[in-house]
Amino acid sequence: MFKSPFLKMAWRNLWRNPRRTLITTSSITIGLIAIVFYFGFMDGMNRQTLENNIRGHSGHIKVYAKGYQKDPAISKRIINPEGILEILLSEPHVLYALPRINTQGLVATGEKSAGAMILGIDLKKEENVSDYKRYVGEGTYYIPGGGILIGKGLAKLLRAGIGDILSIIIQAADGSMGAENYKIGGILSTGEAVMDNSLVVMSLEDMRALTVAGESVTEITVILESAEYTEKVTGALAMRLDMEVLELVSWKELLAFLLDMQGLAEIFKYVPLVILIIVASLGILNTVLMSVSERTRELGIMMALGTRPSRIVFLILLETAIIGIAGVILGVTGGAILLTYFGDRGIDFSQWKEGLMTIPFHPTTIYPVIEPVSFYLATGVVFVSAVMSALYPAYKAARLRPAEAIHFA
Amino acid sequence: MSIYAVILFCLLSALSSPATAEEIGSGREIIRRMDTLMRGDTSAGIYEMTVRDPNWERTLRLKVWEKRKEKKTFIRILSPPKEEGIGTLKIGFEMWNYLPKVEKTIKVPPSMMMQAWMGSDFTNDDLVKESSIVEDYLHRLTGEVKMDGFDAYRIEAIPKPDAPVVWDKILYWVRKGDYVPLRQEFYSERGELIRVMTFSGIKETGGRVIPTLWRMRPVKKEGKETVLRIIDVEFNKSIDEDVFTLRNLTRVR
Amino acid sequence: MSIFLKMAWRNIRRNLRRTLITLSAITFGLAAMIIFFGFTDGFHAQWVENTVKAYTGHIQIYRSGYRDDPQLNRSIADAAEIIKELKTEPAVDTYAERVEVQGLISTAENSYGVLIRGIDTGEEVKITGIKERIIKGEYLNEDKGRGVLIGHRLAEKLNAEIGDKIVLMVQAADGSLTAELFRLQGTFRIGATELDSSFAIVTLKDAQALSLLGDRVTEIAVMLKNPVDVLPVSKRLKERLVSSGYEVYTWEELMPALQEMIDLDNIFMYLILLVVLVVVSLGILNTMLMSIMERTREFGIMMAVGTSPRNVILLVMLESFFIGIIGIISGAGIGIGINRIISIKGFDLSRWGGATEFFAILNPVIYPETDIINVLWSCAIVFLTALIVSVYPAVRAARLRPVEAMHYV
Repeated sequence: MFKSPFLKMAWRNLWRNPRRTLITTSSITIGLIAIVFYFGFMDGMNRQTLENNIRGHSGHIKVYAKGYQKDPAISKRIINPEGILEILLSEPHVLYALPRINTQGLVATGEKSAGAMILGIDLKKEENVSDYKRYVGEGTYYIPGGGILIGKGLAKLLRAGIGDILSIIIQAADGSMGAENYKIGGILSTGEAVMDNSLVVMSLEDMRALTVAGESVTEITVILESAEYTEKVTGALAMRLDMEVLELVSWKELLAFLLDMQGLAEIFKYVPLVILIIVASLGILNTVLMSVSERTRELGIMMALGTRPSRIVFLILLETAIIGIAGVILGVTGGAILLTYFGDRGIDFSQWKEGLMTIPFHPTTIYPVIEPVSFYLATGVVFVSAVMSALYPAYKAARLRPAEAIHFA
Repeated sequence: MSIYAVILFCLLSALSSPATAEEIGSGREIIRRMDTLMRGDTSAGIYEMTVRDPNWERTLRLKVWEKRKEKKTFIRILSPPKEEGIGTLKIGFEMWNYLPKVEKTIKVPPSMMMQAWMGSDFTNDDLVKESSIVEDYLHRLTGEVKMDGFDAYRIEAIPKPDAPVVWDKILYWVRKGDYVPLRQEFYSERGELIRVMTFSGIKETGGRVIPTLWRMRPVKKEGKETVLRIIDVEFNKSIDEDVFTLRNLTRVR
Repeated sequence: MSIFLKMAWRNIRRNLRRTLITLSAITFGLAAMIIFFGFTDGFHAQWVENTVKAYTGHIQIYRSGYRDDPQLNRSIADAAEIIKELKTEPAVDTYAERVEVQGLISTAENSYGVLIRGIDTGEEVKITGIKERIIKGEYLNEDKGRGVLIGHRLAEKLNAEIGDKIVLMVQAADGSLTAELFRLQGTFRIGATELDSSFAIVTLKDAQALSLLGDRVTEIAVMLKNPVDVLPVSKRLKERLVSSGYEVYTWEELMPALQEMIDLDNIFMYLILLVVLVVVSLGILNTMLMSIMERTREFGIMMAVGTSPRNVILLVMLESFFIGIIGIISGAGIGIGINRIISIKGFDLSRWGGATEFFAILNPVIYPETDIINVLWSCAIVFLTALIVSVYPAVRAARLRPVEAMHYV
């Protein structure tokens, strides 16, 4: 095929008017770069938001005692976490297994009291994994023994600040009343009103002491190398763990609402693509029409000399295809370069932090990614529509009557 | 502490205040006499309360003072050591806890007070209206039977149409002659037995013959039970008003 | 000047194909922007309406101090006074008195904490639409005694069937704990876990009786005919009511997170718009360059007979100007037209993919809105872009060397 005379002709035709060719190609290229970058940006943002939520909230998989998810209570605990942690960490693709203890309680200062959610975490293990450290607005994440982190809203309600002493009262695992004083070491701003108004975080040891939980925990948050392994690992764990006393819940269930919203936003993602296709097609249509009309005489001669109309169509389409391929290759390369560049550095949105904070764990610096599906979709569709827009002019060219065409001046 | 206080209040008010007198032998009169036996205008006593759950069991020793008409109650936990010294003061519908461990007096928010129910085996009617059992029901003596080896009256209590109680029917067995309560059964509208209260350890205490061991069991919830043992109690002796003060709460010996 | 105007105008009409193609890029780009804006605005409006209806109404009126400390002793004693004011406001559509109080719901088997809301069954229907969400039993029927509606999740937890005894207990206005017997008349499904598991609805009278409020209420929810009027109406109401000891809040003040999410969404919309603009500009540039190139000979002759390069630029710019105007008018016409047509029946998003949880609360049918400000902005931006983009081709035309140009074939 490469030896075909048509290819040579097509190529030469394109270079006859280099400016035009270049302009047409570049419009495809630039449009494609913009779209590809945009897709990469949105995909990156969605993925990051999801990852952040997974890391900060749900983990990829949560291990609970059976019945906990439907009806959480301190009585439903994982009794032997050590053994389970071992199993979890030995499973391929598992990055972290974080034990946590979670229960409802009362938080009180001298005059005010309020219900709260008390969470005990392994501060060291979770330091770079979940986002609690990131959400410390005032004070420090590294609270000493007897220290707590408290949500911004809750602190305000209790009229308490860094350094103040709060009492926390809960019903312990053995039925007794647990009550202890703690010092506020840090204030959390998660951006989620519900959490800010009711969350208290302390070290796992302190929580164990308070809840008389011994070695047991109420949940283990499992974080994997990547979300794609979720089903596989869940399945494997279900075989290795005692599912009579435990239950495994994946992030897809826990973050259903977020997934929903992202799915919805997908629709809006494709709008610019559609616009690009239409506009680019119009441009190509114009260009090809022009080039055909310029060559009317020449085409007429070709047909008079015996070239079949179908071959004429082929020629026109081939020319457009070459422009299309060139445009797409350049566009894709350009887009990929941009994405890689920004993919490393990230785009900083922190000035719009306020608004972003309302979406839980929304990233303030976005790292665009190259999501193969979006990529191929964009490029494939653009290429196809480019070629298709040449159909009409090609068709017109094939319909020329040689005799008339030759005399076209 | 809220939970225990609440459980205790319930147990103590499970047998409620009398209303108007009626002919002897009627269900209502029997209940009234049973209640008079168990209560007084004031009471001061030492109790041992054990709460059992599928996962744990806890026994508290408590000292309780009560002035019924004024709706004042004061509770001090004597043991175990972890909860020793905790005090609860209830006046009307307000409740305070003092926790020596954190050296704080906390006013219990009503939402917590009501929600304490979730951990206990009791329902709201036990707390809200002390005279609920008499005023909200129509009592009928259905016969005399043998219960725990004693001759007893069997009384059926049906809630009045608009009464704010969740039960459909309550059965009482009261010992003939001295009106000592022996057993109570609580039924839901679907005819299911939901909870059972049994009384034993009948002996003379504080000048009266009363059961000293009360056991409350929610039938449908496996492994849950609340047991109250009366160690010592005195009725209708005067109690210093000073007892029912916030100051007294913090006065831990 | 007028010569050039005439020439520009005539040039445009001379070669319709060329004009049409350039025009179409502008028209299409603008129409796309307007439709896109229309959709997202419609979507946001729907989102707001639904959330506002379910919770607060457009405006809420409380007694002074209630919001900071929602105690029953801060209830509204003279609702009639407020209603009188509301009746004088033409922008008000409906208003509903409500009583909201925290309480305990019990059946023989279980008890849970709930938020009890007493509603005016007649007026409220116009606001929350709870009637349509009933999945079992029926809406509150006063003829059937004291009824209560609860969410399906709560009904499950309580193991309650229609007709069962339900006892509601609250801390009444005088501080005492009161309880009343209710019967379960219906179960609803709103779709939000929170609402379905901790919300109980009774009639206003019953709530007032239960809480010993007499004829007092805790709040009045106000719905406006047109959500746009929220700020001015609330201002007027504030002026008239604050001095009488009431506070007036808009939904934005009560649910700032909602507005923030919308604002955030809008930011991303602008991003999309930017990409669209880039694509459209390229289209315009492409077609304009093509058409200039086509007319090389013509320009050559013009300059040869004395037209100064500056005037060539002027001519080209004037042509763009006319094309721009026509493009804007037609684009706006089409865009607004399509928005109007779709908004007659609405556009059902749910057919385009999942998002089921989200749409349980939201109505998936979107009615595109046409915001004049947005439309004008879009027109201005596209018009200016078209003009700016045509500068380069204009300059190129002016730089042609007449002799060469004339011989251009």
